[in-house]
Amino acid sequence: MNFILKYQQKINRRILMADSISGMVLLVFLYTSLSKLADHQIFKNVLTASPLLTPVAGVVAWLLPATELAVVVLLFIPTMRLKGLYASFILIILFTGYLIYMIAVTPHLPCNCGGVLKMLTWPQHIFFNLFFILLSLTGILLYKRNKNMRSHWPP
Amino acid sequence: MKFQLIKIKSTNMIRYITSIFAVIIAVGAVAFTTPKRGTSHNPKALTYYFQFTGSHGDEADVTKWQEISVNTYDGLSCDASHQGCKIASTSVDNPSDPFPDREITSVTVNANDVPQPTMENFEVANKQ
Repeated sequence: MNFILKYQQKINRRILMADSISGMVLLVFLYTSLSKLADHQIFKNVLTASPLLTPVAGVVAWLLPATELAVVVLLFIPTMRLKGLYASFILIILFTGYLIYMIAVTPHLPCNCGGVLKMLTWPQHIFFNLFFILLSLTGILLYKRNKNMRSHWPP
Repeated sequence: MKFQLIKIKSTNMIRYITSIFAVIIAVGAVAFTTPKRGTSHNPKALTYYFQFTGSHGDEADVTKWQEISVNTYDGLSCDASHQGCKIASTSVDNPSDPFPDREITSVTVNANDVPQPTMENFEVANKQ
């Protein structure tokens, strides 16, 4: 009986950690999407100033916050959190790739207008993204291990 | 001894708590950090944006300040070595000026190359 209770506690702790990670990722995605929508014109101008995105700036200016909000919805619903973490993981990797490309290729970087994140320089933003990549990955692993533990009970 | 499968019940309402907290914090953060772009209380006060097109030392030359739109200003990059991207003017007169709808004065710079206001109607804002 003791063993069963300890097993149950382990699963609950894992779920709690994974849910906390989902909450943090949700916070960042919701914040950045709302910031982009609140200052939509500025965001669009920054995209226009980027050599890679100039032709599609208008589309990306709406598509990006919409995608982020979709990820937020997935992370909000407990049963969809694993999918939300996968989506956030892929999105952050794409963002980080874009940042690295901009730093490497563009001599004059446009302003980093993203609410609080505008205080970060472009290289700092990369480290910020790397942290959340690791966080998303940790959340994915925790949810998957939790699933395995449930499906392999009883041993 | 047979172990019975114990259904681990998770309370979905408790699992929503972290999400709800995250939403509240995010919305609050956006509300506090988004800069407000309101109109001035003085209906005669207008904001014009200028970009310096000269070389170091030419800051006092009025013709080296090119007027730009607010959209162009928002898209400009200002790294740590370039400050004072915005000068707001609240005076409107003197048609003989290069910018007849605006009154422009010379702008001095301090030891750190930051433009300094020379009239009380002028404001220098650092984009950084």
